[in-house]
Amino acid sequence: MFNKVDEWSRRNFMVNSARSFLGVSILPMLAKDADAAGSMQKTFVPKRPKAAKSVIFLNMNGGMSHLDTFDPKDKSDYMGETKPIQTNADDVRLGHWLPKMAEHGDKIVPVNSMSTLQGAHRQGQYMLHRSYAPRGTIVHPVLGSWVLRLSGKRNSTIPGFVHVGSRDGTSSSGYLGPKFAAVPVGSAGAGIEDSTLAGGVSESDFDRRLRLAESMNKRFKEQFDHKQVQGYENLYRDAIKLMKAEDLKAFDISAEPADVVAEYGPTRFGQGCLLARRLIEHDVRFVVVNMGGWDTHYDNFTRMEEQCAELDAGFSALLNDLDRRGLLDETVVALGTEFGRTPKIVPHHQDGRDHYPKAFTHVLAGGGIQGGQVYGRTNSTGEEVDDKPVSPQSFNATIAHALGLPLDLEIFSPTGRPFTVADGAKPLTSIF
Amino acid sequence: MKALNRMRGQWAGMCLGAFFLSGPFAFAEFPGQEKEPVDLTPEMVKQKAFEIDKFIAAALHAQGARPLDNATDEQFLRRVYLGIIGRIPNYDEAIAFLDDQDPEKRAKLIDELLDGPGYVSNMYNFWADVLRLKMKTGGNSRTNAIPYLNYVKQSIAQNKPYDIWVREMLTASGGGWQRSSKGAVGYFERDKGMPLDNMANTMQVFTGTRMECAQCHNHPSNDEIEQKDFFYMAAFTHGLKGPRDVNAYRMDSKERMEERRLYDNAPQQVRNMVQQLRYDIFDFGVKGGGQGVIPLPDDYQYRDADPGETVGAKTLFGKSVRNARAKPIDDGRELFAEWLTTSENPRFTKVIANRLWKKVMARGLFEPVDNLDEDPNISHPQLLAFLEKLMVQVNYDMKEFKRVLYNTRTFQFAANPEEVDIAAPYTFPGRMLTRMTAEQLWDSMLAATIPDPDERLGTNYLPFIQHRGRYVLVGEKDMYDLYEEAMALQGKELYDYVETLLKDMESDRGASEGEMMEMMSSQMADSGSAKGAVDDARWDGYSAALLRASELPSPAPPTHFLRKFGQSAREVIEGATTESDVTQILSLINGHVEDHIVGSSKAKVFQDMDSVELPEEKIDVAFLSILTRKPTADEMNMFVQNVNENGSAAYDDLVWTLYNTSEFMFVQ
Repeated sequence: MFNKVDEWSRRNFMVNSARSFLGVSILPMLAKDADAAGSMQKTFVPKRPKAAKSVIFLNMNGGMSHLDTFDPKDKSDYMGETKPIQTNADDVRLGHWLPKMAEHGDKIVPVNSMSTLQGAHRQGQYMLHRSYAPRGTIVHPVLGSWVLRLSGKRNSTIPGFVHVGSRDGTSSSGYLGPKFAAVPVGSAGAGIEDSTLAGGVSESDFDRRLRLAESMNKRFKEQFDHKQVQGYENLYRDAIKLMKAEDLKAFDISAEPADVVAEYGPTRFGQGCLLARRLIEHDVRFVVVNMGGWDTHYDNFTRMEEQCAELDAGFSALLNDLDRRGLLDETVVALGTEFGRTPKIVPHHQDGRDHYPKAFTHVLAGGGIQGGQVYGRTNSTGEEVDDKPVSPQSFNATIAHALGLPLDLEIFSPTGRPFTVADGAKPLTSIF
Repeated sequence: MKALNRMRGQWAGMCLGAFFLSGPFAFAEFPGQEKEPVDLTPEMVKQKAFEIDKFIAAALHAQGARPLDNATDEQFLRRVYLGIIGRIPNYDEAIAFLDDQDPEKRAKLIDELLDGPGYVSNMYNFWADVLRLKMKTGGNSRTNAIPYLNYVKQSIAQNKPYDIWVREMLTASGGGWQRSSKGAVGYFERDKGMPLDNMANTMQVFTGTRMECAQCHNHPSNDEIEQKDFFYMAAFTHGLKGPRDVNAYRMDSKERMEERRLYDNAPQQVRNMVQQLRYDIFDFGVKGGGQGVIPLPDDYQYRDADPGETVGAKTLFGKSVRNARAKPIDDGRELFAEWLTTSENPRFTKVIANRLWKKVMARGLFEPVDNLDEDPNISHPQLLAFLEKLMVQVNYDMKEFKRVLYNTRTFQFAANPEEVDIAAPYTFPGRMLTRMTAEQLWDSMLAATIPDPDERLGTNYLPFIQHRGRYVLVGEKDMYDLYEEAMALQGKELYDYVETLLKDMESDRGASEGEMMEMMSSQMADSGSAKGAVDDARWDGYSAALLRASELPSPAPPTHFLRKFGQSAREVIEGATTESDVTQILSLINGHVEDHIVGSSKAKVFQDMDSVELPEEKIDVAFLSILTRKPTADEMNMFVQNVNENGSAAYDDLVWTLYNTSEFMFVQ
């Protein structure tokens, strides 16, 4: 709809809408945001000279098998159909389902010594993204919300934190409130739905309606002066800002050339990775791309072939593309999962693998991290962590460290409880 | 039977005094197996409601506080519709109640709503969130869980007593698509391949006991739950299999080799279909009564037992039930279900009484409603004890229980203007303001979009065979028939059968919507459960997607309006949220509201507005349709002025605006 109107009238319309609806003009509001971002800058001192700017977090939902992917072993009774292959880095080996990733061994650091106590999906995903165990009394924010809270947006007109794919309660900003929540994009191709005016609705119609709604809301707000009510009103402001944002085109992956689209693979995850790259280019701070289907209790190896093909294409294309565009250094690419899977194969489940929180693998790349090395080690069966165990908290601390965020800065929940970005865990500084 | 019920009542009274039997491995008969829901007389309902109000009033009084006034008729009307049938009233329904002069009209409306089809729809959404109901079940199973979902709907429609319902799910056996199993086996199927998670979920949902940590290690914060205790519990339901145990053959057995050979030599299409049958038929369902024994995990780390050691079932609290000899038995699930679902269980009744209290009153007497472990802060302990007793008195009839709660003054106080601290117990001086759930929002929009929304059924829950995205062989055979036929066949016979089946399915052009609807209506007449109607002329011209949330796929697709507004992905217990985000606003200002309501002259609200002449009348209709009240004088002036300035476009503005108010989104 916007391409039908010229730039001037469009901007004018948005300013008018915002002014009439919110009693303020959009321009001073922007200035205020810039101020806020400025004061935010003062609260943290980057620990590294060249801090990364953005994060792409690939969420392997369901519990990704470590033996079949980034921590292969030589014992065939544990490996089943999976064979180890060498990558272009001497120290890094992968399961043979990931041939394209083998060309990027020099960019990644498999963290093979992950370990957690959370053996159920919900608890594991909760810990993975929030660094705290779930409690009945509070909802903790996810890492992306923390990052926004501590370092602000880089682009004030579009969301700073985007979650691509199924989200299942893994994207909530908890006690930090809706301002720091992820904007969900159900599937990469859909972009942010409904971000243009409906057909047949003119700017002046829209403006008039906003004015009417504002009058209506006054009465309700006087009666119920609640945070959640106010929160919804503020979101109308955000929605209007978003509708006029030039950078909304970041969400449109159809603008990509066909060969780039093909490189990422025609899958939900692959296209999610492509969207993530576009968003990072437009200064979105934090993008989560979800990939489900890793819960391979049954028939692990048939499933691995399908799962890994999708992961391999998306992940390798992402690293390639970021590298090509010179964005890899300023972008942390993290791959995480709630737990690994039993190295022992379960024959009566058609060769399945069950949940295994004791030892598993995450991957880090970009953002100043030195690829081509492996962090930590499991024993010869992948069942025990032999060297340098890493908790989900430490993993998140490492991402925060790459961004130069203050790991010890306490933020208080509305009920006055103090929290830090990664629950006080130490980052893996040796991999930078 | 009456005498038995009375006895059960006394039982519960004793139990409330924390008096529990613990005894050897022995059981009386299943008491009350054949009991029926209890209908309280209107006088009894009033009496019970009054007693509840006294508890609330006394607690307020003790704090020197007073409750708010009674809610207005308009406020009550909207609230009770949302509470009982999960949507706001439409114009006709609003008028009918507001114009009614009967002094008993509130109680009358409560009864009407409880007995309508909207009640089933609403409670299905409620339980779908708690039980994580998905069309296709978890793990790697590609199984269609439709019979289970229909079973849940049917159980609600029949108002099956809660204890019997839970017991049915915990003890059901048979194939998912076996007619006699009635779909209840879906409860275990939901956690296929994850029997330990299933036990943890069962204990959380039905007894408020959190055991998931103890799956892997001793409970960090609750000394009373050790890892071993978890396995004692898991032993009750251990050793379940699918209806045909395809994995039972030894790796090198003759049967397995033969199976392998047939499979390898079959054409790809046939192989796919055999796999499909494995997921949908052979492996979908539950066989086995629960072995009562289980091996400890290989990484068991405590000194009190060895890794891999077999332990016998033993209950964690309440009456002691155990399989002390640790030898396999065949009725572990019966024992477990019996222990779990009697009123003697110290947690079972407490949890459901509080869960339903929260459903009605917006806040539990303790929260979260499924955690009794960490010494919950119960706001009204005596009231909770009363509610437990009431639940037993009505024989776990959930509808009757809620009938009492809806008739309380506590439910009917005005909305509380104060913001409620969710970390503190609530005193219930008035109804806490809440955002509508995703389902309430969707269904409330539907109320002003199509006529008779509660009666329109879609095609998503039909038991027909799907092939390449079409329903095939409709009228010839459905999934239930497929189960009977396929289960009777082995080896080569099965492969021959599949080949014929494939040909039949390929040559079928697929059923039209109308044909399926016709089939469905005759099936519904048979089952006598759902009160809905087949799609008919009433909904001509309305998108097929305009169905109540309970008739849409469970859960709705990730980008659906419902999911944007926080419908659970149905992966975790009560995963729904009412948090806000910007995509919600976009669908209110540019998306759904425009696509299906403002942009559609067929929308019911516009049809209703067309039936009156004057601008003032039309404005009244829109307000009643969307906000369940008439406009104030100022509001009327504002919208009349807009009509004078902008003509008919002003009515689009009006409807759009009312949907984009906080008043629409929040329940008072």
